[in-house]
Amino acid sequence: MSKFFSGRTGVSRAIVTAKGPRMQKLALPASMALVVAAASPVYAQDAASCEFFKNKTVELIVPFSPGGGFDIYGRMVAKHMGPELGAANMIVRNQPGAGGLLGTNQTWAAKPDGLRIQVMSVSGMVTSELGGAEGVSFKTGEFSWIGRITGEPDVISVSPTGSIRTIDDLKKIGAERKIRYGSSGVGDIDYIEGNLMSMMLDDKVDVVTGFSNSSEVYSSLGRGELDLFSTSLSSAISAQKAETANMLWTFSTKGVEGMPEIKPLADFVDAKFLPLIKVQEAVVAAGRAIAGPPKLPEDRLKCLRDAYDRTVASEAFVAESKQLNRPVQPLTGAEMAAVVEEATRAPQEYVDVLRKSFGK
Amino acid sequence: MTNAPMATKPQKRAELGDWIFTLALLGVMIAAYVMTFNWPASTAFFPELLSIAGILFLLMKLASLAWTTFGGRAALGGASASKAAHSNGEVALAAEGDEDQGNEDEFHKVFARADRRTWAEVMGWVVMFFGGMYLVGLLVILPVFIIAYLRVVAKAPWRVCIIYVIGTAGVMYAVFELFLHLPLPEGILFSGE
Amino acid sequence: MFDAAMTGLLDVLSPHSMGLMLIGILIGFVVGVLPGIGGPVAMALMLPFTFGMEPIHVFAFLLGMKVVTSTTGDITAVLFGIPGEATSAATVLDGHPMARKGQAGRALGAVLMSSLVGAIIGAVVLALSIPIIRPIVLAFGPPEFFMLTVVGLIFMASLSRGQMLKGMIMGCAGLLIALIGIDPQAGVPRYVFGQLELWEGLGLVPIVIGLFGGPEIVQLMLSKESIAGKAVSRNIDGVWQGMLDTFRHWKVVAWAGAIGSAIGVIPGVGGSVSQFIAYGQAKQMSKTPEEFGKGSIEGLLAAGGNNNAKDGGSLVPMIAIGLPGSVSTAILLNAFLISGLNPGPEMLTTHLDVTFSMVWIMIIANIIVVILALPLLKPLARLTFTEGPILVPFLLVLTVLGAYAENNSMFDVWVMLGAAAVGIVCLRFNWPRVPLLLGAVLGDLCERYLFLSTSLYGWSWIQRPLVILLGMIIVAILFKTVWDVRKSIRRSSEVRA
Repeated sequence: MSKFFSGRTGVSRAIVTAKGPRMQKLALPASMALVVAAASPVYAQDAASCEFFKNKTVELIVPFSPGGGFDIYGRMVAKHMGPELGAANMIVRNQPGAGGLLGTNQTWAAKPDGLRIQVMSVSGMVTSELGGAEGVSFKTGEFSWIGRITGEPDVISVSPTGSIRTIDDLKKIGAERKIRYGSSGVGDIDYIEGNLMSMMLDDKVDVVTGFSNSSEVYSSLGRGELDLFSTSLSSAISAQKAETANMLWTFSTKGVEGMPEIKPLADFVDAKFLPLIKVQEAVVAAGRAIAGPPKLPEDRLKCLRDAYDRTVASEAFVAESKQLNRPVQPLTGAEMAAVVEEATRAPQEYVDVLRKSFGK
Repeated sequence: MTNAPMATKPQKRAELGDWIFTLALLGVMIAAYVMTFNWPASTAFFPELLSIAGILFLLMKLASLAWTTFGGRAALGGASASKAAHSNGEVALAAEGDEDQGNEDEFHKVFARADRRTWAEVMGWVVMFFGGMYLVGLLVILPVFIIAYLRVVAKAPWRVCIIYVIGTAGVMYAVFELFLHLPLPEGILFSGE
Repeated sequence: MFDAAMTGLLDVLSPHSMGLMLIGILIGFVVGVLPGIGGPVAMALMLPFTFGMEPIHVFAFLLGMKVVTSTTGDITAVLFGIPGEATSAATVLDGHPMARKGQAGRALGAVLMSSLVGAIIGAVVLALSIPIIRPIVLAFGPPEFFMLTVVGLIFMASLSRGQMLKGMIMGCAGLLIALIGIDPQAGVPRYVFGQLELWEGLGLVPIVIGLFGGPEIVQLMLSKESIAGKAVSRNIDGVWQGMLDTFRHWKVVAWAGAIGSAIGVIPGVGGSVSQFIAYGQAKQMSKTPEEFGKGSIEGLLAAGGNNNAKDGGSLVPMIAIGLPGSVSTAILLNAFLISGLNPGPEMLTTHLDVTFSMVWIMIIANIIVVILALPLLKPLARLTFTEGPILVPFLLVLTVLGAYAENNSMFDVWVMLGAAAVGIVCLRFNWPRVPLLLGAVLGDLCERYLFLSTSLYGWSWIQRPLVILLGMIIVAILFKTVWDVRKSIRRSSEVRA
């Protein structure tokens, strides 16, 4: 009964992809922001048609507790997006519970008036929906996507004290004993990645659960109790700085810009597993985004999307994200809808892994 | 260890309470145990272990209760108390625990002495507060409750009531709604968008 | 290292840092009165205000707030019997009985002073452990965590107010309550009855507030007397006496502070276990253990001394390897990251001054809190002589907000109400509440670390040296408990005969 030992069960299921509260500076965001910035003056003119939001209070739901990584992103966006939208107020409301499902289910069923929007943990939503997880009452693709905040790749780290430096080392260990892959919760993205790894390494991987959060998994990795663990890039960078992790691979087909030492996993595995890596890459890229309930009226959705695009392009927002070491890789609402669409069109093989991960 | 002055009637009532509490907990523990049947082994291990341990302890408790209620009564006189206390597994410490246990015991006495009418009144106020909060929200029920309770029970002057309302509901409204933009419990009647 | 310590001190003493620390302390004072909103929630809500500040300013602000909320939590615990957090529930056990005896002033003085001494011990431990911080933190793994939860659990018997069987039953019930939610091994929901709200388990905050606050309020409503209504003495001037008590019983406070800071260091379980160990240890050492739970000054000093010491200890794993040991340290960790710092070796080399500044903040903020709180204690103590019915609406609001605010959830309010009912029934029929709380705090930790130990080490974890040491401590405590019980049986049967 305690996330961080005083509150609640550490088991965060399904939608929790918030890999701990760790974030670090990234090279990625600037270029993305520039692209949007170039396009934004066009939007500025239709702001007048967004009369609806004037004098209204918009609630941005964060389906996790205050003080965490999601919360900080939410507050960053709310602070800058409220004025762009012309709303009287844009306030963050935390609605934690069931690893984010509680708030997400409620947003799914909320009145689509544009006054309740939410920071979504999209990767987790996609995997739990496809895997048929309990408690999911939404269809990820049908939310009204307003825009993506981040979509960092996932990185696999090894213990800094261990002997694993290459895939061959891993196979050697696999020949002697099971490889121990840490997971912060059954059904979490890291759990699914552990299962995928197991497939690629001839079932030689044992996914160890029971940790209450990713910080705890990293400390276990630092003690050398575990062999592998995967989280978002920024979390992994923090752990590497704390000397509890050593980043080796990304769960993707391409490497990380500016960090040649991290190799794409696709380079090492059997070609038949490439589709799996690709779809996992797409799912992870869905990242954290903002959306409203399904069937938001066109005009209001356009207002929200435009306001979001202007927000993430604004200098103040970009500067704040840098200052707070919160990397952003924004996408527009339309682009985000396409990303979700792609991620939910996963091959059956992948869906099977998900279903297995959710005990179906 | 002031066993003697305690009248037998409250003693009996306490025993009855123990019976009900023990049997209710036993029911809960058995239910908790039965629910583990469909779970995988690792999921069920701890709940099974704990519910079985709980059931065993409760059975011991029941045995000791049965002894004090039916067995211990047979032997009359002062000796019976200590004998019963010895045999029921909680040993003489139970007697120490039942009487004069400082704070908890004062509470116990207040709860035990209050008659039905007083309890009903208190429950009425509690239901009014929480029921009202459920229906119309905290900020609406709070002033109503404060004024009603302070006027009726505390017989406080109106001036105090008004200061009280401003000091609680007013401050909460200012801090939560205006300053921090935090939600307060809303009633189901007013929560529609 | 000395240089870094001095640089850290100077940074903290700069007007800007001190100003922010004072603001943090003042905010903490106001919101900290609400149990449950105490430390973590206040820090989380104030985190956005630190965006863009210098690291040391951030910590002056947030740590200052954290310190004061621990203290205000102790104040509500003494006055109204409602602890601020589950990890400081032990303050209620003796602090509140003292208030009911009319000694609120003395209790408040004692808890304030012992918190300060404990905080200083905690800060010193943090400072001294800096050179060896990483090996220490890394020496403790799931097997040691598991053993430590067991050490906490065996105090169940001694916290049962001499009703061991009832205590064990309530303990089992508490442990079962802790298992509600998604199980950590297979992800299967347990005892959730289709409620998504239960997936992450029952919140500890609503349970604690209900279990302790509920009976208090109903008792006031029933008796219509003031909290100290039955008191013979009406001594609200005991503040100085209470402060002196801290030094008169300096051994108790020193032990509690040492236990708090040492066990608080252990990531994962430290914060939850240390109060029970410190309190149980004080009881075992005391010449008058029978006074514990009835308003023993030693019990209160142990709880107070432990409380702020463990906060210092809990910073250690966060600084050393980025592992937060509590909700508030998790928020501090976020503060680290958004101010551009990284926990780990960096904090012990290039940013050593920042680490030391945290030590200084812990000490200075605690001293400021004592100075600020001192003039308030007497008026606060007077509250215990206020007519009961006047306090009732206020206390009702406190409990509702405390339960609600953590998750903005009505569900938690109903959990609090349920816990209140359980608390009342327990007191009415003489069943102990504390083992229930102990079980609820430690249950899922116990399960998770046992399974983690076996999945990481097989059964060979039993042979780890620290595990064996903890095992020996457990056996020793059990032995002592059995011996004490036998002794008291013999004594009481002699009395009867």
